Amino acid sequence: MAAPLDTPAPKSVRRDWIPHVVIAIGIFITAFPLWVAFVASTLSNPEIAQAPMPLLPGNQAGANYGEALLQGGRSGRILTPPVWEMMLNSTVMALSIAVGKIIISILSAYAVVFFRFPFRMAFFWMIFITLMLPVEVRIVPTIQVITNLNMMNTYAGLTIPLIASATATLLFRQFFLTIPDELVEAAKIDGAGPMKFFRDVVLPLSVTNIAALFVILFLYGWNQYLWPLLIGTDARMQTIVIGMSKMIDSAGGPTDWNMVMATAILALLPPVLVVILMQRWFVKGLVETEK
Amino acid sequence: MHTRRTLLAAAAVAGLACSPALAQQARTPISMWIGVTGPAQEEIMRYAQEFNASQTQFEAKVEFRGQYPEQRAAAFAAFRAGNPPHIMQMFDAGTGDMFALPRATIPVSEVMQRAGVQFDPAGYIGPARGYYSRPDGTMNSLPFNVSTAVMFINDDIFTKAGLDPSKPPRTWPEVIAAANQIRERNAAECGFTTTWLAWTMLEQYSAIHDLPLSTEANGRGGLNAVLNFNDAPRARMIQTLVDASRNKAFQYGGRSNDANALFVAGTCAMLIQSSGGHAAIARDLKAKFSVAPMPFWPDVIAEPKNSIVGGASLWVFNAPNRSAEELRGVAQFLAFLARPETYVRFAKATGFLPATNAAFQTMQAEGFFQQNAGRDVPILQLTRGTPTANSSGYRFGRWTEIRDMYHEEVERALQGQQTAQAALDNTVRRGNDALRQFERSVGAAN
Amino acid sequence: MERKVVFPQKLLPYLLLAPQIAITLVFFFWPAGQAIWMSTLLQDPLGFSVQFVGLENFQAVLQDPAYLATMQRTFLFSFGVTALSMIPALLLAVMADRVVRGATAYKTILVIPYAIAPAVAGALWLFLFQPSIGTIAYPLRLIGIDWNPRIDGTDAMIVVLIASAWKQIGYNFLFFLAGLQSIPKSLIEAAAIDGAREIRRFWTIVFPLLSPTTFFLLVVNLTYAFFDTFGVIHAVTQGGPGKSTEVLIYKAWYDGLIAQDLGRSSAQAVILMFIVIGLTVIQFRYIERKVHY
Repeated sequence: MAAPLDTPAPKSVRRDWIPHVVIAIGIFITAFPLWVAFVASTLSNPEIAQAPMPLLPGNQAGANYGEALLQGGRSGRILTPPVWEMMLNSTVMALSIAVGKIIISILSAYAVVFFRFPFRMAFFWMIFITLMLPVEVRIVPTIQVITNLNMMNTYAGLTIPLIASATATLLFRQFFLTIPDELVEAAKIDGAGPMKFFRDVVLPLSVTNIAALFVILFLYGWNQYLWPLLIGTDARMQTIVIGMSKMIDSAGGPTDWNMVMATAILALLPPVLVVILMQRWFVKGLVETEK
Repeated sequence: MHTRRTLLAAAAVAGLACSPALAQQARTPISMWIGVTGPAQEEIMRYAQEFNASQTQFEAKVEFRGQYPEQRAAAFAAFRAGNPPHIMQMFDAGTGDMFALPRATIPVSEVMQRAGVQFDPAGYIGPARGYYSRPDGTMNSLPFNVSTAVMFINDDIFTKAGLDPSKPPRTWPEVIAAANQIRERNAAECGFTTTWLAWTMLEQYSAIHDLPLSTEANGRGGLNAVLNFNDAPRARMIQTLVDASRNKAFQYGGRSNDANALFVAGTCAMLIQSSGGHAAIARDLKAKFSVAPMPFWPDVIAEPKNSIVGGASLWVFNAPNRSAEELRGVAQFLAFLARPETYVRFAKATGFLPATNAAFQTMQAEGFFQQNAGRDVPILQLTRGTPTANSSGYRFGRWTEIRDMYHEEVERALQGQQTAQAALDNTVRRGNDALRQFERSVGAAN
Repeated sequence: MERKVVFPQKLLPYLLLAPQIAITLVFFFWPAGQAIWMSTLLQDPLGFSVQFVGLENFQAVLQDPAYLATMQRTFLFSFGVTALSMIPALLLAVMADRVVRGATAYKTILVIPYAIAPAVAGALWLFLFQPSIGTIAYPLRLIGIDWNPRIDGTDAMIVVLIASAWKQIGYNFLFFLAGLQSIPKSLIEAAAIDGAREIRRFWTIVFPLLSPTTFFLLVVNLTYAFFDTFGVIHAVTQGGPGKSTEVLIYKAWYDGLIAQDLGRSSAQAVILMFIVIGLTVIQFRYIERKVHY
């Protein structure tokens, strides 16, 4: 226990100590529900029912996850298709929305910034105003419009209406305004057209912005609730988030909490992994899109 | 996926028109949306396959489009877009809305008649016929999954509490006494619970005790019906639940089917539940159980009346683009579903009731009720005595919402925030607002 | 801000804009217009009878005690979620700001709930608070608290509040931490030399400097609590018991979809539209100030 010579003064020892404890409590509050959910997903239902539930993983993980993924909707208990199907729906939804939004926003931002044409600002404001019209304020008419277009219970209906949004367009516009005029001049002198300039200069410069947006939009698409609830009423079109919630409130038999928790873990894993693996872009995306 | 199928269907119809050679192969699609899940859903899907195999002209396509309310919203939107499914399964509470909008559907009687298919509404058990028919006997929708509320009893808990499961409590005082005994001897965590609170404690309760829900013969006499169920007998039922929940003789289990979990987990000894839940209970409960009729108050009524039907029926949408050929297919498919053997199979597999007298008699003749004790309780309860105006069902617009008003107000009473009488007064006041609003909204529709 | 150098093409920009404008028109403007139009109509669920009633639906909605109670509840809930997610986040950020090592790892863990869907967060907390088996409900029962979110409205509200706030703490933490780190250390040290105590130093110097971040997060969290918590409520309590967890979005959804009362649901939608517009304007006012350096 020989203390180094440069032992800090007692006061700063105390200072070092408090933050770590507070943060440890914060991390505990963050992680505890996740840990309990994970443990529950590895137990059998009788093990969960014997209050208090064990807080160390059991040996049912394989059985629970296997059953959730492959069977899912055991008749009368869980009214869902196999979880892997719902994960597929969620993946299609999250990827289509993320990619679709990025494509149409970057194109429209490019048009608004790099060209002069009649009604330019009118179009820009039209896009901007969509910020004020979330799904929540047009629930009933939206169903009618989607039905009229024969898009109920289709991937198109689940994704296309969500790929228009102002945030991504605003972000790209903001960024494009910072591209030096000299680059554009040079391109014009070289005889490069706008699409060549877009492909060779603008797109490469936008890579970090695209990555940042992708993370945010993937979360947005994966975690949608009201929209798939309204548009994907067919069980085959259910996303995993909706499917998980149906496992709770439609319990015809006893609620299989181990299955619900296994599904919850499967529902949160992809977005959590994306955030952890792409953390740098995620933080950038958060800061940029919320401006 | 759906769009592609529609395109294919359109192509098939186009082919039918221009090529007689193809006409023999192309089947006319008949779409049906259903809102049930579990064994009932599987059964209906199976019947559609069998129908398709039994003939070559039509192809029945049954799709699950969400649970009843979601499915209804989707079907209504499709109707407004001019392209509803041919057939829709509509839950009991939505019946009044459909009756108030007669131009939206074609009565099943008429569908059958136009297609020249034999159909006899008189063959249906009385309560189902009454619930889904017009006063002139025209049957508006085809009763399919018919159920009523009964009481399930966990025999093991009864024995443990020193009660005799072969003599289940018949009246409410007996139920409360049994529940208290179960609690005192700690035989179970709770005495009794109920699913679908409004359906069991308001609708079934009123029918059995011969009490009206409203003026105008429970709404069958017109849209101007005024709810008036805020009286002493109905308030006493709520008060009983509130009092019994203090010592957990009663435990509230939510507005829909969730209380079923309390019963099959062995938490509650008695459960008031739809007879349609029988199969699921038999599958999940790890104990012996028996079935008893709904309890009643002997000082309100000496001989309880028949209970009323719940479940759902099949409606045929009317849309401008419907061809005679399609309607013929609809009639064929409905007739296929309405065969006694289909009803018998459906009843056996799910616990729903045989909807026609013929199906009931077939099951009796087969000895089904001897082999499956308790399965005849719901149908005997449904058909006992002579129905009165109060026990012949009801017909209100927006009843789905009014049920939830009842749930909300009773939940507030259970939390001790208001009295039982106030809960009923509030339900009636809010419910009448909804009824008046509905009456005005359909005013010019008919 | 405008670019000086642009491309001369006349048709191309329209083509580039076309996809977004088309989607915007069809899926935003058309239904939003419909919502406004339907809010002035009285019609049956299938549209046979359509009567123009002017502002009657608004009058009915705004005079309905149930609607007003739901509005009040929504505001309380939203401010509750905001406070419950911002205060711990600020505390954590202040602490993390002092820690040199491990800050990145802390950030990574704390921000995880933000990635989780509100409905899933709701399910996790519902499970912890499940009366008979929940890991948190169990000790509550042992100390004699009769805990049951299915019957008790306050209990239900606590569950949805905690689940909704839990999800946002990490997000707020990130922004508070960034805000703290952008405050020049010299300022704080100067105050320390003046002999100001630590807590006093925080309230008189650091917190005022954080106010842009605080204000920004206030708006973002209120918007979140207002609109994005539908999933928590729909999955966990369905607005009950009674109406104790019904918020404005849930009511608009219920009245439109379940009750099929198109006129009054649309009137509620239009009221919500005004609320969003208000929140967006506040947000952009503030950002304009921040961006116009």
